[in-house]
Amino acid sequence: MSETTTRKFGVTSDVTGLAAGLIANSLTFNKTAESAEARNEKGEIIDIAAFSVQETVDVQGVYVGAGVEPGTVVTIGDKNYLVTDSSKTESNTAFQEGSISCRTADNATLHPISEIQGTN
Amino acid sequence: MKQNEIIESIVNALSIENTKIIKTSDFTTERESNMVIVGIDKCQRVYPQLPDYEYQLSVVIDCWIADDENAAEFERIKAETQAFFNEIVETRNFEIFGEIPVVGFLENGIDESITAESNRAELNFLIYASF
Repeated sequence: MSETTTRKFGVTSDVTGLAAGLIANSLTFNKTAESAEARNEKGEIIDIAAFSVQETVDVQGVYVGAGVEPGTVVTIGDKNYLVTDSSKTESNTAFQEGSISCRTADNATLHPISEIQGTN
Repeated sequence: MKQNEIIESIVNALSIENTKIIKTSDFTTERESNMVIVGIDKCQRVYPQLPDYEYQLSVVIDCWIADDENAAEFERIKAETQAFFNEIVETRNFEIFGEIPVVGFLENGIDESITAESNRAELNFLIYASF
């Protein structure tokens, strides 16, 4: 069966880069392309052009260690992402769970918060 | 949908000392002191119109108490059976299934009981195959 038609099961992305802070149970990958449009004199859209592709990943899983801090750079699969949001849930009837949102775009260079604030 | 082939793959790959390992369909096999019976309780399509299937695998370990009063044999056989399946779950190595396209193998609980004659444990698993 060719790769393009094979249906996949389970988490297949390499999430070892998160394992110190989050054991990933599910990942949602979102990609969006920004677009610009041009209109004619009647207000009709005559051109649509895509100019930037952004990717976000939402990861949910079991919280371990110190979690994953926002402002850090993580590797998921073969790409790096900048963590923009991080959350942790504590419940008296369950294991602590965490989630992060992270993003990248085009060929952008990611600058973690430690680099910007000089807190290495 | 290939249930028999999946069960046969497991029966052929699982080997435990002093234990008779059979398929549920071989219920006429002569009973021995220690038995492991492998069967699929349910098979269902995961998505309508796609050939992906979920199988509920049942592995029953049944050991006569009369021949194993302190349950040492039962515990040994149970541990070795669990170790066999744990390796499949953790390594996700589905080689034993040969050409059957198994893509997932999950644990689904263990039930233990004692009957008038035997110690019994039922290991339950979910197998996913994508044809």
